[in-house]
Amino acid sequence: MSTTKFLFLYRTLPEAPQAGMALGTFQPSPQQMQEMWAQWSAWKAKFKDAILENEENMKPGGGAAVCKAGAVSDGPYIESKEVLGGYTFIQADSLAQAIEIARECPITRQPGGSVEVRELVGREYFQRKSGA
Amino acid sequence: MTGGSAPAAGGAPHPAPLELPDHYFRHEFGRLVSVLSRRYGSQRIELCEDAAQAALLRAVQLWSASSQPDDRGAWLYRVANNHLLDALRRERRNEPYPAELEPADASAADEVYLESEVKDDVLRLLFVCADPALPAESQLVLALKTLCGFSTQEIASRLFQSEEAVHKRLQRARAKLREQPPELETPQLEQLADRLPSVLHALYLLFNEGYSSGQPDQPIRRELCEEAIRLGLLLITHPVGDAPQADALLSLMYLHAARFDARLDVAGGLLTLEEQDRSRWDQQLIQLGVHYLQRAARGEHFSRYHAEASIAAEHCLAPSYAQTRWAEITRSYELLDRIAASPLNTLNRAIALAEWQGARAGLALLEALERPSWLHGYYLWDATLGELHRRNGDLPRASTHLRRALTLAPTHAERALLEQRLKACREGS
Repeated sequence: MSTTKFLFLYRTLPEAPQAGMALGTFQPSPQQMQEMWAQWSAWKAKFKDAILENEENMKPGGGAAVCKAGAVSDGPYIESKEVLGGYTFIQADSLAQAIEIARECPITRQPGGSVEVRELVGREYFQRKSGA
Repeated sequence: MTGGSAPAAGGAPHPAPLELPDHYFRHEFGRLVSVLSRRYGSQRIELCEDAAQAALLRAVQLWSASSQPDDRGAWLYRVANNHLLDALRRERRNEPYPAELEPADASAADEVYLESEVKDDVLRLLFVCADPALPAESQLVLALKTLCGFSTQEIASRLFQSEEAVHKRLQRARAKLREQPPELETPQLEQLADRLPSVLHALYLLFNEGYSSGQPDQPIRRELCEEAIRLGLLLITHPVGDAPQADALLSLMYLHAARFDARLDVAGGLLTLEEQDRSRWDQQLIQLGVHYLQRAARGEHFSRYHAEASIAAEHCLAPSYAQTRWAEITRSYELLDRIAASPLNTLNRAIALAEWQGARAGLALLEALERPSWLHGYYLWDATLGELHRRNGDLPRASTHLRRALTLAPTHAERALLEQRLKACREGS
């Protein structure tokens, strides 16, 4: 059975603009973060054959910009309700299997956290003639 | 996912799962805030806390058992520092005439993250928190938040205060730090050396908060004691804190900590010194306590911590309650009372004196004391008088005091103990 590549996009709520003003945002304490780390670690160990190591990752803490017609804004922080926090490539036999892996991802247990699963296809997919 | 290290070559065996030490994130938070606040100034401490928080959140996702940076501390510092620089840039963009960022800031990421410097920074922040201009309670809350990495909610549950109250205290303490004149923004540790008494007092309070008797949630209260000892150890390894009174404080904390578990019975009730199973006292901690007490004996200075540690050592080294050297303890309380005069010290001295020379001697000491009004609501006063009258055979007076103590006792464990004594009084009469 051939394996397919998937992209996992991790989204979280934006960080609180100021500590203590964290209404509606997720501000785990360091102790809670250590527990979250243990969950992530366990998840990665469980699916170590499916999760591909990233060669690079998003630069933490900014450098982001959002370009729209005629305007560039300073990152997605202010407008959007969710922030793209990172990504991973996954190899799985099927979308259903990828979704199974995603459902167990610890980010889904974090308030406001989610993981978007996208199936990736190669160039040949678009070169295939429809109905051929 | 990779951290700072190179990704493992394909097919390489997975290394053993990484175990982080207990409280690693919490202590790393304190280290990050310490280093960042030295660099960017204590008046920006809130920004430093946010940056530390952001860096740890990244580590949650990016580190795994099989892939993690070689130098985790340096990795966290780089991420936090970048986060802080971005926040400062955003801040400046909103100013009408944004100033250029100094080039020094841009090279910050390449700075070496030396363990010895980090220790100095943590200590420096401890001295910043122990600002005599802040109420002692605020010094504690500030240290617990910035140095120990507890959240507002976690501090509230450990100090039995509302989250709101802790939050307000923190905000006021940070506002005080922002008031510092610019030249004092980042004082060197040596410039803060005269705050040592205030630092010792803050650690003493921190320890006592964790040790104070009869509260539920023992494990989380115990963390406060562990933090006080951790910071105390850090203190004495630096010239600025290498003083006999710091040794004495550390000794005192170890000697009390040695009896932490033995103080509780199976139902979580409090046991008196007399009732405690001495085989459950932690001999290793007692040895440490004695070691630091010997170290504290250098020099001429005799502090209240010396007196209290000597008393604790007498108890810890006595083979049984009956064989305790009560004369020594009475003398130490006398010294303590001279250094830090307090009716509470006299009260304790009376208890020791009663054990040494009989209940009548203890009662005489208490009856001679001019009792301040705030002591009238203090249950231990009546509890002690009740017990001494009982031993002296005056059961009616004993019962009166014990009943009064019962209405004043703050916790269930303490009330249970008093009820037991009162029952003994009734059965005796």
